[in-house]
Amino acid sequence: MSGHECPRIDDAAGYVLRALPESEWEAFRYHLGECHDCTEKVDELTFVSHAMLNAVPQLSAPPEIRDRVMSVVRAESALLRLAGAGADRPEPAKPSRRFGFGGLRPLSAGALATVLIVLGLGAGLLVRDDGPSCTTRSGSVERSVGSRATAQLKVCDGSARLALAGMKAPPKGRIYELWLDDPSDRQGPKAAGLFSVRNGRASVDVGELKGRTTVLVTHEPLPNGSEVPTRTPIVKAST
Amino acid sequence: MQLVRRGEAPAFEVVYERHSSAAFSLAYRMCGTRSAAEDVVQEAFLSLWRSGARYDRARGSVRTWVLGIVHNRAIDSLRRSVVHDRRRASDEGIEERFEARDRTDVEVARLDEAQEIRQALTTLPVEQSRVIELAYFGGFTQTEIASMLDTPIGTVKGRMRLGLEKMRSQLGGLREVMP
Repeated sequence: MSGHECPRIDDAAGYVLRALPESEWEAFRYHLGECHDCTEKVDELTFVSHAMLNAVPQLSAPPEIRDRVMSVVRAESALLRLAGAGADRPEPAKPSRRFGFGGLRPLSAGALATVLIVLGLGAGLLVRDDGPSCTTRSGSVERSVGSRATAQLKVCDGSARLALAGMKAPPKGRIYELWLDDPSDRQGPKAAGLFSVRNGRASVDVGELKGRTTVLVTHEPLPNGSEVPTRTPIVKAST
Repeated sequence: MQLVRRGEAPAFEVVYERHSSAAFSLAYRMCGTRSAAEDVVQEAFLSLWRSGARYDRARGSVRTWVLGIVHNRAIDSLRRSVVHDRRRASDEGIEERFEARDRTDVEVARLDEAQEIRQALTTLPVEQSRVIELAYFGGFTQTEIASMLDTPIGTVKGRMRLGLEKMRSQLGGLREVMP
């Protein structure tokens, strides 16, 4: 910008105050990557916008908010511990071996998801063999929980782990619940624990299958979930 | 914050205790009702809990990070609401019922800082402070403000920039109160 100010520099104030319409805000953010003047101006004005965060009369937060927030946090922290330290870490990229819906074109993924859901994916899709006693199968995931969400059920010596990726958080006031099902059992699915997703991922220890062949996921009310599923499963994976 | 990143609930509770009142104060100032402010604070802290890894110390204090998220959530909430000039008809007496009581040295320093910032805002020409307040605390876009004030959008943009630049020079000696 040698000699002349960038014509978009007036938008810097609207940007730091978040007063630009969303599309313009995004466009200006992109513009910042290529404009030194505007970047410098944003840096200068951000100081003021940060300072203004503190410029309001101070009140005490009602204790009810703390109770609500911390009950969710404690539940999710406990579940995270149960799921293991690496539960919310992204898996290393495996470009040469893509499984599930992630590597498909949108239309194909959508069509496949629909077919899998309609058919119930009775047997699942065997995607790889992880050694002499382990198999991994992909499950079906309802698209409402993530357009590119994937589910993989790994079974080793009768015990299973469900790996989910690309999942949205459950709706407000609800938590994901795991179920074990056997189509031949008239009593229906058995509750197998609650879990949360972090950064769209979860690695859930299903435990011993004990003859059950299908793992389901629904979202149920916080804080304790339900004894029987109250919603249509959003994930279904079979051994 | 490293413990929060690792999913430690007690560590998060410390963050909550330290910043929840400031978060509620900001949300209430923006939303104008207790219930909306509570929703904003709850959403913001759960979002913080689930995205602790995104905190970047180089970009400011935890407090600024927390309040920045509250500010964004409050704007989202305001823009979702059908009636945009909803606040002002605030919950009666909430300021008295929830006025912060005990003040530590850090809080006293923050009160002084807040006073200085408010002072800087009030010394601006009224047309500049008005557009800044409507945008920052009201969640209105420049286009909406131009329409409300029946003023060309270019004028609104110019006033916003000039106002912030004046505040920047007035607040030049201000340093963020840690933690």
